[in-house]
Amino acid sequence: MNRFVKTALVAAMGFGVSAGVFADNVATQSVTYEVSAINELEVSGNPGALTVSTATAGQAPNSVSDASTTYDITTNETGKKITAAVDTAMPAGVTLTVNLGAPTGATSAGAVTLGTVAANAVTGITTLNETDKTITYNLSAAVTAGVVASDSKTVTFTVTDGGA
Amino acid sequence: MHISKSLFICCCLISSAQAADISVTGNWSEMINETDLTAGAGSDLRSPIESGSTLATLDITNTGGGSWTVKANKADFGWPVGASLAVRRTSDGSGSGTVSGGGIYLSLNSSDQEFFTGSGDRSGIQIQLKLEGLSVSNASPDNYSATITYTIE
Repeated sequence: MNRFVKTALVAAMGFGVSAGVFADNVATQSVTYEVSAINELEVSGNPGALTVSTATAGQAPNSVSDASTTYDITTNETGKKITAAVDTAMPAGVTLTVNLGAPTGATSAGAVTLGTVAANAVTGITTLNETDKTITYNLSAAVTAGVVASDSKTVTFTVTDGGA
Repeated sequence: MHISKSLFICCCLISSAQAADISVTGNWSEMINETDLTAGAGSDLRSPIESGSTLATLDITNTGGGSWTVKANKADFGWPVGASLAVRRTSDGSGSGTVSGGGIYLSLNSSDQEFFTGSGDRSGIQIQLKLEGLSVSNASPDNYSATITYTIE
């Protein structure tokens, strides 16, 4: 009887040690990463000077355009759009528009008149990275604008929420 | 007869107590943002993204000098489709035993795979992790996590 008790005790101890060893033959490590919202847009440079200086008799002055620049875009979000605005208002009778080529799956708004309030230029942008999308500026002036001194504007393109 | 039973049980105890132990020190946390684009706007996320070469260390003890195999697997939930995680050994560590294999990245999945082998106790075995297949098209803004399980047999 005494021997039976000792054997049972040893067996119980053995079971406990064994369980502890088994628990230690496994080790775990956690890997976590966070992906931030990425919305990057970059233009290739500044367009050339736009000068309205010719007209056909009887017609409004000829508009001029520039398509020498492009933009690159990367976003990892859905439903984004590009808006465009100028830093200060255009002179009365002078209109500057911009037309952005749309990335794959997005929609260009065509020629958008630039003002100090941001206007939608491209909508429906979803998770993409594309380069060399066209930017076309157009400057027109009504005769009522008269002679306008040379000026420069800063055009700001913004990738933001809300593009359908 | 009772004596022989007791000896048998003691032998079992000794055998169980010499099962090798493994422990890992060091987790990996990574922030991925616009600085991870390969060339700014218009480009995609760089791939692979690697941890430091000495990210974590594995210690192998209680081997009794015997041979062992370390296996590894990964459990994740909701990872981006196409994203993968790999591990490699970047140092031998130190100790009386030996260590072999594991120097080439092992792409982890949900099943145990042999990572490296060795014998005897080794400590300070350094490992490195690699994340591949992330893209702006599959990695929406979110937090992602996984657990790597190392098992020694």
